[in-house]
Amino acid sequence: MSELKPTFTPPKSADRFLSFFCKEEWIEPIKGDLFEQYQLDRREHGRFRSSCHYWINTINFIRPFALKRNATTINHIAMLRNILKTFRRQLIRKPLHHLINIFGLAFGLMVVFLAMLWINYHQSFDQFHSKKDQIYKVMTNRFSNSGTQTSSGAILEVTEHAEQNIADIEHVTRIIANWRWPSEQCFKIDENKPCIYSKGMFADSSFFKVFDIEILSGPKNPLINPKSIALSESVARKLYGDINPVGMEYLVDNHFKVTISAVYRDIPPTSSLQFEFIAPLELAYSLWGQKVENMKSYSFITYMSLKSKDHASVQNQINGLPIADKYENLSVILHPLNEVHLYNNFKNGKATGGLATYVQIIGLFAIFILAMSMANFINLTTAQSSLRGKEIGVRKVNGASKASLHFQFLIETFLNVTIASVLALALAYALLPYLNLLIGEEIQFAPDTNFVLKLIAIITSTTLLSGIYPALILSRFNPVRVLKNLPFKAGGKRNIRRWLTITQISISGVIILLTSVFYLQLDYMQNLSTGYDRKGILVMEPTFNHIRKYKAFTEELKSNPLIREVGACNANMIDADFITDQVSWNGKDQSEQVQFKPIGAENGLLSVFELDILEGTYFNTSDTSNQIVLTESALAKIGLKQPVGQHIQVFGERCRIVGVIRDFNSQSLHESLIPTIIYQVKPENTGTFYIRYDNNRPVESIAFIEDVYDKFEPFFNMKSKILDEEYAKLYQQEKVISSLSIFAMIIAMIIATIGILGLSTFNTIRRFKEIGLRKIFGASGSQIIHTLSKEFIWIALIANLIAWPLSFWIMDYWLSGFAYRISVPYQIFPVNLLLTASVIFLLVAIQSLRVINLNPTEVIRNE
Amino acid sequence: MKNKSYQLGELEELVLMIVAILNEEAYGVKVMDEIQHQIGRKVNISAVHTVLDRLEKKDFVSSYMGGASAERGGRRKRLFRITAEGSRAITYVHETRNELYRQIPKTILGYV
Repeated sequence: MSELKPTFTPPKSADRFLSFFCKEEWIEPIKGDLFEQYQLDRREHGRFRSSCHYWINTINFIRPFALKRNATTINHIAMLRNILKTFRRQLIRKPLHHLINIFGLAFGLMVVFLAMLWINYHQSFDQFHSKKDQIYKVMTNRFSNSGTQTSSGAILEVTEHAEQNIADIEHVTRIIANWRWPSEQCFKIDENKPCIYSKGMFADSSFFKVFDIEILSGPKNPLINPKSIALSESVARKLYGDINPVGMEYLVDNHFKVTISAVYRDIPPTSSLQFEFIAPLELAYSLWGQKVENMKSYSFITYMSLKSKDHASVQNQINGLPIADKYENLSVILHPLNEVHLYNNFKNGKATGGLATYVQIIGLFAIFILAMSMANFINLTTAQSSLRGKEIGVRKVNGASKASLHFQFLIETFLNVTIASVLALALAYALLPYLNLLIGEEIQFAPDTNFVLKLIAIITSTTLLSGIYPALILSRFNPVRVLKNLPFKAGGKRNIRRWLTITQISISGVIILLTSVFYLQLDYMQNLSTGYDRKGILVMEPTFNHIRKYKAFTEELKSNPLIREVGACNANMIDADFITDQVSWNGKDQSEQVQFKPIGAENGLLSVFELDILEGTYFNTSDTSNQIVLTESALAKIGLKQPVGQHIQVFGERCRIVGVIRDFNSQSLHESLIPTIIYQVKPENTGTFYIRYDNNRPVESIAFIEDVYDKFEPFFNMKSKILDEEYAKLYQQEKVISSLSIFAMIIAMIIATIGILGLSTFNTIRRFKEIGLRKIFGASGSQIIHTLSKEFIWIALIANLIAWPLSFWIMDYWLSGFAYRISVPYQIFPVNLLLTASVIFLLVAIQSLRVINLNPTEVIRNE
Repeated sequence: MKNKSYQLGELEELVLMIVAILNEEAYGVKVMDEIQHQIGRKVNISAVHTVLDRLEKKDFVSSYMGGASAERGGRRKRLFRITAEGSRAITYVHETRNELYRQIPKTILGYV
């Protein structure tokens, strides 16, 4: 002990670390022991090794007995009660400030909740099938020189061979749906009652093995008997009331006798397959008067369930089948059922999104808006923090640690967020029906566990993100300065608040800019000239009786001056989906695949649509030869010099070109236009009647058409649509996104307004004295407004500079998904700048008026 | 004697005995060294402290701050001494062990 040994200094950082976690009473003896140990170590080992040892020993002391326990002395319950009491008093004392704060958050959270419901709704599509991960929709890619087209069907022959030869395929089911007839049926069991029109499907008996459809009454697989039909619960109820119809007989189309084999639970709205009845495929063939053998090369909507997860290999196996060589320009793709609803746009044979893009955009909007309202909250809370200086000072003097102040302010934020969430849920609940009405969907407000978990996550993250910064700022006050009434720094860094406001305004700028583009593009598509007048055309579904007496029916209709023209064709004129490459002409390069949209029409149709004739005539009714009319773009593809009078081959038949018409749209504008050709067919081979009526008197006209309909068809009721309304439905998705983003835009603007208002109020209050002095020295009202708003004009400018490139990028990405798109409308960028600047200026000016009218002596005096 | 039982872990028993042996000179490093010298077992310094803390909580030892020394960089030691309860515990443990040892048939011990 007495001999002097040199002492070595152990690493200081380890000592600091020890002091950080170790209990006060233990620090000294532990440090001493470690020191002693270190000396011994150093005598034997080098510095590095001893230091490492020292560190390891220090870290080893992280044991329960040595750890700091600073909370043991605080009574948590009492503390919490105190915080609640303070919070309540704050609310009562400054109700407006808190209301603005809470409502700002509530609006943001409401948008998030609604977006969550909407996204959840679309993501839950087809999720109720137990085999959902194994089911694939079989689609067909059609290659041609002008690109690849994807259609939602597969050729019967191919899928049959696949089913027989590929072991990995479990079941295949083919479906006939979306035809106007026979998949839309008039159900009638009482002569005197009107029809109940229902949309249904015809499917293979394996349908019920692939999909989970709950049978309420009847056998597990109701499609085994080819002469049977299964009804949905609501159709059965409408027809038979409370009587169970299973086992009863029913006449399909009033002449084909089948047995009702089952009643199944209504298909939920979140199913991509919707059907109110389902019958075996054989029944459809019988109704069509077709034999199964003749249907081999037809395309059917097809679903497969696979035994393996590797759908790419099954896809290759199908395309490698010998039968696939027969259809050399076609290849099959398997589209997972999980993606059928969300990824419904195809480009170059690959799914590219569609609804999924909108889900992303809406999700982004929701996060943006929540970020805005959090920025608001932070801004307002820190701006008002100086008002709580006294409270914080007293708490600190009484021994509150920084940590306990952080805790207090986080709890306060948590309370604010919770109140805002409850409010937001109520608002979302109240708004949901209107939102559903606006976008035409059936979203339910049904919070499940998933929703509750997300809710908790959102509340927690919102609390932390918007609470931490104010808590840090508020707990930082120097109590001495506060309590002695000395000037103290309140409200944190002004720059941070400025940047938060800039963030807000740029986000609202992005939303405003995108919304305008969505709106402009939708407007563009809906108003793009279709090549004919869409108004005043009725789309009527004829029955056998109308088709048989087509001439008489037409004449009867035309006898009334309300009816201008009547025509018939075998396609959907606004969304013709049939594409063929079986068109050939003299001089055609045989290696080339050129696609056309063939529409088989009766002569009246051309008159109904008033298609502009450029050369030649419409069909000649007295001429019995096959006649054909080309559109301009079809003629350009074919490239004949003097087309009229020449012949081309369509489906192997020789057709004489009688006329050339101006292009018109026969499909939605998401995809690029395929040249249309119209060939003449007899009325017996058409499926839809188009009737042009006097658009000034629509109600009378339609009533008259209905009368004539009933005269020819006593059994059924007329089923008709208005063409213009159907046309608008093609752009339903765009309409939904446009409506949703307008809604988001309004909320974003409200939140931004609150934000600007909050910041400018704070700035104005803070500068009372300065303004007073300025007034004393003779500043005019406008000069003061200028001083106060100068800062905000900069904010608007910077915010716009951030918003412009970001929104340009999203716009361009979104627009690139359309074949017919507007170019990015550059003029909206400066318009947005002008808009934000003027709104900001207005808000600040209103604030400034309060100061301008103030008597300067009142502010200056209170020293 | 049997009506009160003392439960001591193996290391606890060891440390308690060393504290008793060192008699007013027991502190962290010293105890650790003693264990190493007497039994040849390496114990971590933090483990020793943990045991000492536990023994103190059980009232078998009591602690007080001792004098500083240059060896410790001027820091005071936390010295431990055995309490009356502690000596009772040691006696109890010792006697029960002896009693058990005594009951082992001599033949067995002889052969080991």
